[in-house]
Amino acid sequence: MRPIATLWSRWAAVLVVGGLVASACSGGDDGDDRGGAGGAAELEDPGDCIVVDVASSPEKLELLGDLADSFNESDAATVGDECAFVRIQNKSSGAAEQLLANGWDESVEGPRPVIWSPAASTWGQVLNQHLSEAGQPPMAPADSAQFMLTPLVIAMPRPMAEALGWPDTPIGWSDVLALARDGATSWSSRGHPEWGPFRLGKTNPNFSTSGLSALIAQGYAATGKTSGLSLEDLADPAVDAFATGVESAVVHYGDTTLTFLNNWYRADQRGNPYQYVSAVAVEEKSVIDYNTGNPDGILDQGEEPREPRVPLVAIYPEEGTVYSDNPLFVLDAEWVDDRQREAAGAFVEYVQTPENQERVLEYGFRPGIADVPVAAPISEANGVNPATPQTLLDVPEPEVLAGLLDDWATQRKSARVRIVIDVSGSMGDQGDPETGATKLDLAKDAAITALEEFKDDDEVGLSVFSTELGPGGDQEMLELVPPTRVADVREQLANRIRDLLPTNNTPLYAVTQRAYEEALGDFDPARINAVVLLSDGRNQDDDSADDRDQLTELIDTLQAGSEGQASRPVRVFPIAYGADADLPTLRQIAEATTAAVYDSSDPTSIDKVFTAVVSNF
Amino acid sequence: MKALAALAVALGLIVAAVVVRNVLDEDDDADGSSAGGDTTLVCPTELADACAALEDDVTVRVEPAATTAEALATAADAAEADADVWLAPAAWAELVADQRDRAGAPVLVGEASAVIARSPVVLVVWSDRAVALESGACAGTIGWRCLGDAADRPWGSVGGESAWGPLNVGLTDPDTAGGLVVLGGAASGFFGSPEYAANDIGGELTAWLGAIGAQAGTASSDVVNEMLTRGAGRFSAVGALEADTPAGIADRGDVQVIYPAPVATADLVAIPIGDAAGAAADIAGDGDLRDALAGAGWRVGGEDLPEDDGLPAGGVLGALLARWDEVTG
Repeated sequence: MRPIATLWSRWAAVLVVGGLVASACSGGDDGDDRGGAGGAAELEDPGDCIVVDVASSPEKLELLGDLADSFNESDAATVGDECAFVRIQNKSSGAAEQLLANGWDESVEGPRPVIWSPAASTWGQVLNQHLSEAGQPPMAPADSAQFMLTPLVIAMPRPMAEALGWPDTPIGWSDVLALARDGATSWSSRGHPEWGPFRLGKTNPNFSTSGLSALIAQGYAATGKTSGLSLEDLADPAVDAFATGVESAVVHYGDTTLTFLNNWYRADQRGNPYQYVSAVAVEEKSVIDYNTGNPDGILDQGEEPREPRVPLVAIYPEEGTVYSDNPLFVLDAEWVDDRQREAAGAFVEYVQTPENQERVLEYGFRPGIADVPVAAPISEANGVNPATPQTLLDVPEPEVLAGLLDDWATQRKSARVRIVIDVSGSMGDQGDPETGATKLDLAKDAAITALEEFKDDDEVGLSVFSTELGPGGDQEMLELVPPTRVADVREQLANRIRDLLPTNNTPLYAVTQRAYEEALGDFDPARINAVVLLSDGRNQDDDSADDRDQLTELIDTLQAGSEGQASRPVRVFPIAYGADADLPTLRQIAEATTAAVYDSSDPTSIDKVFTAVVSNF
Repeated sequence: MKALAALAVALGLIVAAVVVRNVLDEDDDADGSSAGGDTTLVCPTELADACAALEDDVTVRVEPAATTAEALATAADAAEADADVWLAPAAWAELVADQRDRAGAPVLVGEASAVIARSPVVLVVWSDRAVALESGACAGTIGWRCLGDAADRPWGSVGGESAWGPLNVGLTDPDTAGGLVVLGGAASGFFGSPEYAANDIGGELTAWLGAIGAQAGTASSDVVNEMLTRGAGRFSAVGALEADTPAGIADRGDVQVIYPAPVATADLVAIPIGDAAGAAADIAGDGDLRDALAGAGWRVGGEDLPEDDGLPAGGVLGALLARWDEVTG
């Protein structure tokens, strides 16, 4: 057994946080393992049947649920003369891995699974390594059925890809690097000055499987290898320069690709999908979802898919890519008996029948069995190429993966972030009935913890807002710490946060506008420029009569600054905190700056939400 | 009153009998075996579905062929082996017999039954890659030798497009029933004939095995499915039994199924353990088993195949397997 570095465990642990966060956020499943840890949800009564509980990552929950229902009603659901009954529960990959490794509390998390289906089989290796470190036998079988597949691709608006020579010219991470290095002239030197500079969207690899896959692919691209990426490779200055160059084009990171896809789609509907981002690393299935007018892959009640004006195309990096394979692990666990194992085997066999594998195509995935060929919607009409990828990459050894993540922490694009915290009187309301902590207490703890997630070179500032602030009682926003290199002020920031007290009202619109304009005033094109705005209430100032005009002006200002060739994108990431927060307005603010809103309506989730917000930087 | 008491006792006895029977049934099932009779048949994992056809007549135990081979090679006697008949390619029986013989252990594996069904070793190659091999590295017919020589090299250097990345080859795991046959067939292809000995397994073959087995550490147990679902980026070609390929593969235009020379075949036999020759013969003649095997893509009549399995002796296969393990880690 190869030793797995502690850092690898850390990665898994951070991913768990990501999974937990997602349940607290408005963002759902982005097709790369989002959607939450799940919990002890209401499960169907299996009667006297043999129960097979399945822990599934969120992106396939609906499909597996449907298949479980049809299985339970079919003749296939029999073991000897007993019936089998399959129940599906939602567990993000990282969360399930941690629960399996550290102990699964059925009273909190629901029944322990007989089958575990994370997004990628790599999770099985992680689990077995954790168990091995704890002196326990492996739980995930080395060889398991793959349910369905989807490769990581670089999505681009079709005209942009064509400007790079697509589909005739192979495109890869080296081309992304060249575009990034060309900076402001990247598109103008390729005949399209109207597109502005090349901008890249990538998720945070500590949170997102897509982000991690992209990081692996970049690492290999920098070396020219397709297997055997080593720590020595990562130590090569040329590899470091490659990674830093690619990261320099990133608009922001984040915990889910849905943020990019939703913003991109909105920009497209407004007629300009070119200037928000030029390319995003996503799973192939997301390109299909986007092009069919369903960018987040979820059709809400009453929602009708509308095709984008400008479709995306999937670029399969010429240097190679990796698959998410959605394995079905029948666990070698002490709580799985032979009858359950047999029943689980029957279900695995059932989902792998050709007629059921046809269904994975409906969701934009590639079938897991050879009997069902890749077919529509995986077609050129939807911007993807079923005959690719031509080159696949080996997943690096765990210690190399840890090295990639460590290096990324310094290679990623630096940020300049203003944290703006609502200290209105309502922040003094109780936030956690169990401990009696106020909302402000919880927010302060979360903000202080989140400071650790910034890299030393990031610049972070702190402001508070309410009414009647300042020595004269006439200010609505006070800057407590100006944006400064965080390594120099981390303790100062923490101390100032600790000292915050609740007082007065919530001048949300005026403060948002001012924070935005200040960020715009010292915009740094080499950094991600952002405002993190935490608010627990609706706009409340001394004059309610002008609220509507204020909001209109604010949204117009934000939108005007974020669009157009000469835009200086300052993203506002609002956190809707507590049950009384004005989530719809905060969402408008986020969308106007092509950022994302985070829902922390349960105040006790704020630590996880803050971590998710900081994952953007 | 007495009549009622007698009825109650009788009912109690019936209930007790049912309970005892259920407990016994559960005990039978507890080790994962099916309870179908006094004879215990050990069945390789990949043939579990076919063996299920015998469950009314025999007790079927499913496990990897390498696990059975190891147990049979070291068992003191038939009782310790805890099985009566083993269903496997004949090559496995030879391998076990050779290992016991060299260890000075008494004969445990009897003479195998007549061949029940056969499946030749095939190469499945993506059509565009096959064309490139024919005009490049193989300079004509695709075979094991030229494929292994080109394996683990960039396609651009062996006649293909550089955009195709490296020429990755997948081989069915030699620890499976069919995988040993595939490995033996590949080595026969390297030498041009199955007439080679353990002392021919030298440096040149070792390097060749290293290239053709470069993906062994990351391959699944079903390399054909892995290749066809993940595409040419995963494997340019795989070596497997014909029975491992999906129905209708010959009709696909995107892949070619090649029968490399010299043809090697998995000849499935029932191998008696101890003195179970009669049971082995019964199993070999079972029509349900043959039907199930035919349904799974095996050639029950051995149609259109050479008489010999095209494999070296069991001892040579053992040496080859050891070298493979050494090379692939």
